[in-house]
Order: sequence, then structure tokens, then C-alpha cells
Amino acid sequence: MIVLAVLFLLLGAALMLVTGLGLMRMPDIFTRMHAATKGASLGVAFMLLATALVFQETGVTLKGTITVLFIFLTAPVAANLLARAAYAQKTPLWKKSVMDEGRGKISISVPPTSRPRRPALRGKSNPGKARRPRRGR
Amino acid sequence: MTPGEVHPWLVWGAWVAGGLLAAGMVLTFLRIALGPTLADRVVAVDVLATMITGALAVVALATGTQLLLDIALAIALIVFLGTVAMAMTIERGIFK
Repeated sequence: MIVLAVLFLLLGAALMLVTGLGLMRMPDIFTRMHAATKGASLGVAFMLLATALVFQETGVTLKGTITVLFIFLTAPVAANLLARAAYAQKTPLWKKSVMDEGRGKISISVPPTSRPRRPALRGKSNPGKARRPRRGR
Repeated sequence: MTPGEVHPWLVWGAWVAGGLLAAGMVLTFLRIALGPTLADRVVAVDVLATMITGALAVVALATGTQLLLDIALAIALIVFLGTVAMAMTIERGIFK
């Protein structure tokens, strides 16, 4: 059992190193994200599996399972949001990219600046109405 | 397992795994330092937090401390919120 645990620990650590290499060597933010999300999630899963094998207690196994489930659920969501945001900000793709399926489909979905709304003028009733062009004339 | 008794193979494996993790962390820090856009840095910070979760598992194995796994769970819970918030900030285009 201890041999299996050490094996899983080393496998997880090697996956983490591969993740770091992918972050450093990939040419583009989208390909970097591809390397980062999967490698890191799988590495943590193997390491927590090793802890569950070594300690062999219900609490440790449960905590490890919850952590792995949470990471597997949230890492794709976070990567999707980040990739969408980077694409909406027109981050350049890699030069050798073959396909750009998001062209014209993904744009900024939140207002570009969060400017505070102008306070209402006191004394005049609804100043926005007067500026509106009237149709009848 | 109590903190006193740790299998010697486990200590050896933890040293090697810690070395591999440290190399990965150095590469991730390099990406944080040189990333051309903010999104690259946020991706690298996300990966770094996951690596810290793994490092906590390694230390928990090497010393027999179970409490560190709670901290790993807490880090995994918190970092997701930070990444989502930074994604919204990037999409608004306030920072480049």
C-alpha cells in the first residue's frame, strides 16, 4: 500500500511539473489554459489519493474526495470564464492557429466601465424627458 | 497514523515530490512575472494555488499531520472565487 501511495505521489508531482512546463512553453494564452487546467487538476487528484491511501481514515478520505470533486467542478468553469474574458478583450491568437470559431460570437457582455450613475437633479422634475426628441413635429 | 511514525519510503517520496513541485512552482512564477496580459497572470496564479494544495498534501504525508488537508480544502474553495472575480474584471477591460 505504501508503494502505491508513493507512486501516486510522484505521479501527481510529475503532472504538476508538466503543468508548469506547459505554462512556460505554450505559445498562446488559450493553449496555456489548456495545459494548466487539466494537468493541475489531475495532479492534485493523484496527490490526495496518495494521502487517502496512507492515512486510511474516513475523515481524510472524505476531505480528499470533497476537495477533488470541488476542483474538478470549478476548474473548467474558471477556465471557461477566463478564456471568454481574454477572447472578448481581443487577445491575439497563436499565429499558427487553424480555426477561430468565436469570431463575431463572443463580445464583451458586461458594461466596459462601472461609472456611478449621475445623481438626480433637485428642483427639476425628470430632466431626461425634456431632451427626448418629440415625434409629432 | 500518529505524527511520530512515518514510513521512510514516504519521507523519500515526499522529498522527491517536493522537488518536482518546486520546479513547477518556479516555472509558474516565471509565467506570472513575464505574462504578456493580465489573463496569463491570473491563469498562473490559479495553477499556483492548485500546486500549493498539492504541496500541503505532500507536507501532510511527510509529517503525518492531517490538519493540513483542511487548509487544502479551504484554499481550493477560496481561489475559485478570486479567479471568477478576476475574469469579470478582465472582461470589463479596466486593466490590461
